[in-house]
Amino acid sequence: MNKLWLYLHFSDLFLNHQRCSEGTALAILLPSDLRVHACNSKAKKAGIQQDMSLPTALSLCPDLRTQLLDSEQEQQFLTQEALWAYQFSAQICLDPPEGMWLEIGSMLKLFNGMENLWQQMQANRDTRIPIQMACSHIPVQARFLARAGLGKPSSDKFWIRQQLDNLPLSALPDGLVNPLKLQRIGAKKLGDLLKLPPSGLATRYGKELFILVQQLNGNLPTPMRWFEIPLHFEQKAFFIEEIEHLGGLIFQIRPLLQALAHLMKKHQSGTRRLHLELKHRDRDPTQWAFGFAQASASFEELLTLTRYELNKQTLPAPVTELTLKVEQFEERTGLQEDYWPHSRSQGQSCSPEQSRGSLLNRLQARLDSHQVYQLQLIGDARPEMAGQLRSQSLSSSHTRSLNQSFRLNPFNLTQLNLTRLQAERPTWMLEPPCPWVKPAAGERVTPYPERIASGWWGSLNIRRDYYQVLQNGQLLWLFRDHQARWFLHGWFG
Amino acid sequence: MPQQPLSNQLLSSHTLSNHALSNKPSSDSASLDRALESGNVWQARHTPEIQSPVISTGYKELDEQLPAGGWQAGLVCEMYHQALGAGELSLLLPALAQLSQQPKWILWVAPPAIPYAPALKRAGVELNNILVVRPKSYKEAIWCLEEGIRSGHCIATLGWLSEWHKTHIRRIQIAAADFHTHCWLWPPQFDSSGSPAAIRIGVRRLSATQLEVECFKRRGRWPGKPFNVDLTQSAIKQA
Repeated sequence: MNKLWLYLHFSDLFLNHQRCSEGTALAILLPSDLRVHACNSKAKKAGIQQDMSLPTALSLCPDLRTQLLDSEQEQQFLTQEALWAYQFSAQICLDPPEGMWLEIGSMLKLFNGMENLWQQMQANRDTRIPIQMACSHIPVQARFLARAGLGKPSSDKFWIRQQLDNLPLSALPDGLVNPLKLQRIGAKKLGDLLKLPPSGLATRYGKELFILVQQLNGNLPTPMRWFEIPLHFEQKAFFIEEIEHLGGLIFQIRPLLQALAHLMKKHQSGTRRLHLELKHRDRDPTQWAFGFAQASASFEELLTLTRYELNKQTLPAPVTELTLKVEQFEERTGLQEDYWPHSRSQGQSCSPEQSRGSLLNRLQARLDSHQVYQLQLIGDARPEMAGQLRSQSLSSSHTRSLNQSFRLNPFNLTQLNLTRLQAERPTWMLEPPCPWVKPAAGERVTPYPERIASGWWGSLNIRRDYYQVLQNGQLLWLFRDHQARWFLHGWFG
Repeated sequence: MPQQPLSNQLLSSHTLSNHALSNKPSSDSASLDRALESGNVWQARHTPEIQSPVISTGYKELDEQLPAGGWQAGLVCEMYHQALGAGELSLLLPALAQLSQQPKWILWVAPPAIPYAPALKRAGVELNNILVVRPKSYKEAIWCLEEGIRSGHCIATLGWLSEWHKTHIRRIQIAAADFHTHCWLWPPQFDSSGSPAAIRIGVRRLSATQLEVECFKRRGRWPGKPFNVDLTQSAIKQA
């Protein structure tokens, strides 16, 4: 079926979403070079234009309020708009930063024709954030018309073509091609460009323009991606009889987790945070949040993790109602379903990094997160700084940061003093060092001490002579500090 | 009364006729044969089949003493020593360096001090694959060990347990065998009544580079005599 596309253009989307009082002049600045990206009517009245530098703008309008363009936030605004548009069509393709396509060919019957739909959408609009709409069977055509503000509720091919032909060359996206170059061959309007033989266009003006013209002519498809509603999970369980034990609670959570796992399976996602809200008869609800080191999606794993987490909690009062909420979902990169019933193939179906993260999950769920560590190597001459335990704490709960922490910081590695790396070091480090008696001369294994003097810049300023000492069948790492006191700092295990 | 299977009848008639021919009154040897055939008796000359992977310890003398010619996955090894610094970890370092090259965890449960990263790095151990757990109790430690093994995501587990219970060691030995995981334990004291662990090794430091090692128990062979290991003679080059 030939699809009919309605393009919604939200001009100055970011600007219009800023809440400020009527009389304020507001300008949105590009973070890269602090030039004006957009400004409201009041600022325009003061003479501020797009691309103006900040000093010029401020000199024109001294009480100009400025706001940096936040493209992530802008994307969220667009998502919000897409959620609004979802009531008119389920098939939406975002066109960041300020536009989107709605497939309305299949919706016309429901809305009783294009005119009706058009009016309903306009009437339903928040007036502060205006939209420009246009429709066409060819997506790019609809975009051009909407941006130019020429759209009307008609998909008449000839009318659309006529409008497109009359568009000025400035309607082309910025930076695609130098308008002067086009003017030199006598092209003044878009129509002149569309008439040119395509092969010459590609060689002279580059591939991008060629592709765009082909898309405008309907000869090439436009790459688009369907918009999906962001996930959210919230389910409740009501208890006729109050639950007084954690064991009973687990039993009630099971079906909720099952539903959650089912949802996540469908969306190929996982989660790292569960929120549990327990309602009690006469006290405030209890909120529990369980975090995992690694996104998990399988029911079995979620159940085990929840059980471990619950065992660490105590119920403050009998529970009358339970809510399981998940707000953030993460994309799953590998398939993790098969590894749980400890398969002998040892989880070859998913990436090793991911599968071994599940052990981390379970260790942290059962123990406290500050009981699980990794080893850290730091390019510092001071022995206590060079090797440390780094807690795998959940506070930095982000997959990426976790994955990064699996790797050594490259900066640290380059900093590593290679001679220090070659020096013999004990396998066990005692922290803090323990006072020790002066070893007899015959017990020293190394004839000369290794002097380590470093840290003059900080609080841990050391000047020590390290010896390897053999005492009672133990090879110790002793040092003498600058006050000639002896300390034990490690064992060569 | 159920009928005996045909094969059994044939077998017994066969042995009987054998006896009749050789004319030896040895019903004892017949029952022994039968026991041997049913697989109930293990003979020392039959070394157990090695199915799980074996890696070299990095020390020639130690490789020769171990039944599989190196550390074998799935066998729990108990290491005994007097105090820290007796070379109890040095014996393992070449093996850990090899094992850590795989993208799996090496789980350290309740180490007695901070495993010192520079020393491990120098021995060629990949630090990113090391996970250290400091449990609060013996119970938690045992749980971590077993969970690590049974997760299948650990290529090796190292445990310093504060207590020693035969039943727990047996559980760990079974788990390690099931999941082909290397497992080394440093028990708090030597229990002379025997251990379910497949290998028990004592380590004593003679000098800075010389260790005296003795296999008290090695599955499939008699206990060995004490022998010396020169730590500088590690076959695997240090990084």
